[in-house]
Amino acid sequence: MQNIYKLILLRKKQIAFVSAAAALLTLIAMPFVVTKIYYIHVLILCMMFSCITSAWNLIAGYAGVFSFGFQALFGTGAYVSALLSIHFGWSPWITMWMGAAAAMAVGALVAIPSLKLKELPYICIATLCMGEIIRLIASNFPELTRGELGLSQIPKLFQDNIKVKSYYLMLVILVVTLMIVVKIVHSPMGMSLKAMRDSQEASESLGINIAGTKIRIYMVGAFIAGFTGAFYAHYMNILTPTSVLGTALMTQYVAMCLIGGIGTIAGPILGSFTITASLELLRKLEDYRLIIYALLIIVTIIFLRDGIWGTFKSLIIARAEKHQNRNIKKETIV
Amino acid sequence: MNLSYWIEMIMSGVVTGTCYAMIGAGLSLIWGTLKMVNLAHGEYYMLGSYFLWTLLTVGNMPLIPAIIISIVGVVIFAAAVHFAAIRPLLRKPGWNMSPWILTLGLQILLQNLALKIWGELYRNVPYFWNTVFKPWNMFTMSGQRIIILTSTAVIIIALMTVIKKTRLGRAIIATSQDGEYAMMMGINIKQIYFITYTISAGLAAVAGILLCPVYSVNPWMGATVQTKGLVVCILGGLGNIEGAIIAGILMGIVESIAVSAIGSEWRDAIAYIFLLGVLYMKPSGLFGKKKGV
Amino acid sequence: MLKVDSVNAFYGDVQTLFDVSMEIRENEIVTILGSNGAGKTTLIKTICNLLPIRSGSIYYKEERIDKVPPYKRVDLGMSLVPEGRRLFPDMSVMDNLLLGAYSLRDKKQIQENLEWVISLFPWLGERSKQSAGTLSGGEQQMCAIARGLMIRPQLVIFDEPSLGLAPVIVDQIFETLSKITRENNSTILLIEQNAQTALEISDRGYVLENGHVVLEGSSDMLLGSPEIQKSYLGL
Repeated sequence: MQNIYKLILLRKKQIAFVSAAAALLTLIAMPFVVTKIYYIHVLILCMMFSCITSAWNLIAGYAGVFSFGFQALFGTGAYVSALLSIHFGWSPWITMWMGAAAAMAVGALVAIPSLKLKELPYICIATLCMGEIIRLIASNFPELTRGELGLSQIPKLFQDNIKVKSYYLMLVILVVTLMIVVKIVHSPMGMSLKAMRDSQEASESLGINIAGTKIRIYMVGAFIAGFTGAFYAHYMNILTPTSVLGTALMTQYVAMCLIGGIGTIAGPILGSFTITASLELLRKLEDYRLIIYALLIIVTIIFLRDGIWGTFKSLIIARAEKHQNRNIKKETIV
Repeated sequence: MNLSYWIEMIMSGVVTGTCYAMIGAGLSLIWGTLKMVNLAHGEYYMLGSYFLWTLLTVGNMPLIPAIIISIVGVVIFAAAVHFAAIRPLLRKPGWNMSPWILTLGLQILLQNLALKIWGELYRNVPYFWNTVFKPWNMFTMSGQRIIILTSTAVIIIALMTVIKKTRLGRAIIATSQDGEYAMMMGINIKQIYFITYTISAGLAAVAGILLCPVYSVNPWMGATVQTKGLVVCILGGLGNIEGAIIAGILMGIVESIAVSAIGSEWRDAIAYIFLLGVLYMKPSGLFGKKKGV
Repeated sequence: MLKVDSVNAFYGDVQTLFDVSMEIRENEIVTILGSNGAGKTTLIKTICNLLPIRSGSIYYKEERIDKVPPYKRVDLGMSLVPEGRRLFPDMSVMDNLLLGAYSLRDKKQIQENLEWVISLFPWLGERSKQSAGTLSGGEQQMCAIARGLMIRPQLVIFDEPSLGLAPVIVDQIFETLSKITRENNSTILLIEQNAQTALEISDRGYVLENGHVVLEGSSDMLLGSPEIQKSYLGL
């Protein structure tokens, strides 16, 4: 038994790498196995939410900036990319990048004042407000965005309309997102994030530029969200403020992140896939979608605060460390 | 724009302002004692209105019993929520984001449950008093607004008396200023949490009942009021009830003026901008709170 | 009256009290000495059940109280005057005192206790409406003591009453402490860094160091012991 735990601790990185590779191969193979186009669509949504939740997890779970206006960045990317391609006729392949850049700019505009507020509840309130204001702007300027009527006929990415192509594009986006996330978490910036998570005073005394780091992370997360939003715009070809800027979206990414496990890398992805897939496949419950999300949030926050993956991870690691300590003790006595 | 227009605008702002004050005072109490921001507070406001509408239309009840039962109903519901969700969370301390996320979940749950149960159509509750007054022939004031004003005045005075003069009020303030030591005085703070939570929910419900003839009933009314409640709460100073009252009336007046200047579709945006302004300008509120000794 | 039996306490994974045992008998004044971080406040927290104990037991008048919730302590006749006074700053002196009597229901009794407490510190009566946050350090301490006495407790725990106060006020306060035992028949548990004055008014003492009880005995013995004289009396 103890050998398994030893193996786990020593080979954490290898295990993670192998599982990620296996998951990737599965996703690549999916379109060959799955025949119904609808399921491909569901998987695209799963991957899309994985990107959004991974980005939010980066800023909230790792950097501790609990932004409840994050959906505005997704929506900004969507609207900017859509509007640019409609009004200027530019190819979506170009405007997606511009949408992401716009989201990054908005992200900076949101993050910089928010971080001036000292207390966490205030940051939450401020970001929520800003998100809602952005939604109201989109909603109340129909000359620009057609408001709640919807912005339609957004140029497609693939003229031949084959969904599988969008699937692989989304997969690429997801892989790149994860590479960015992993790189940041394991970088010096990531180490200082961990320090910030554990104690603000300690890291301040070590001279780490907290606000600067948080803003940089926020902008990376914003870029990812914006790019994903732009993809969504050109994939669905229609946008409304409520669907891409509204609090329903916020509920979803919060629920998925929470259930998967905030503060872990695999958690958000796990949460996104399980929830999106289950809810799409239980179409009858469409009306109850938000109610179910809400109940999931409530139950998880009370009973399973670290999420499924987070709890699992800490249990295994705690067990493994206990075994390791026991072994060390044995060795020292001898 | 003549004088009567201005007076009506300000009076209307004062009237809604007193309701905002009640909601903000409740939020402030919960924030002070339980140390959590109750994001679901607006939903109790909404539930008060919906209970009243249901009892009046479907139940065909006369007005006064319907009002009383609605208030009691919301209080009982809030008590249930307290035992089912809040208490279990408080038993597991750590992670300062958890109360926020819990109340967020509650807000979404209650809002969408209401949407499911009552549907998305805006509902109307008739005015309680169908007369209109013309004081000094200078401006018009509906009977409904007079009822609102008198009711809120009575309730606010009662609230202030309880907080400042009674044993319970002292216990509530003690719990919000130093919960750990309050226990050593014999105060059962779990009980105080319960009382504070349910009373605050009741205040929100009353506000909902008083305002629903004016603004109509819909599942999203809680969310909009929540923002205003937060403004009032922060502006007045966390845990500071008198501050919340003044801030509430102020908020009502400012909103009234702003809406007539810019247009009512921006009403929500005004509230959000106001909230942002309050957060940055004076995070400790206009009336602040002294630190413990 | 109060018996602490082999108590072990932890803050998270860090152990702060190691097999601490002590006894306080009726009508005694017992002092607990120790430098900062010795575990004195942790010990108080465990006695009040503000911090749960990992093992051991605490008895009050022969009954186990380590599982009894904190807010029931006053019903047992136990009162705490905490470190740093912890008055409720936005409330008046009178309101603070009335809160001290929160657990009492009989208005007459509350009035009597109020009068007794004011007799100990007469200025409380004149300044009853003043906001507690605006009092001076010494006045706050006296107010905190008065608040703790409002239930006429049988056991009073004083956590570092002399902290940050001028020597003249300290003498005043310690004199009041002896007075309380005499007039009210109370038992006093006194936590202090100010060893000299504390031992002078107490009957017995314990010395805590890093969560361990390292010395115990009568006050005379402690005052005379060379270790105490070196570490705590600066001699």
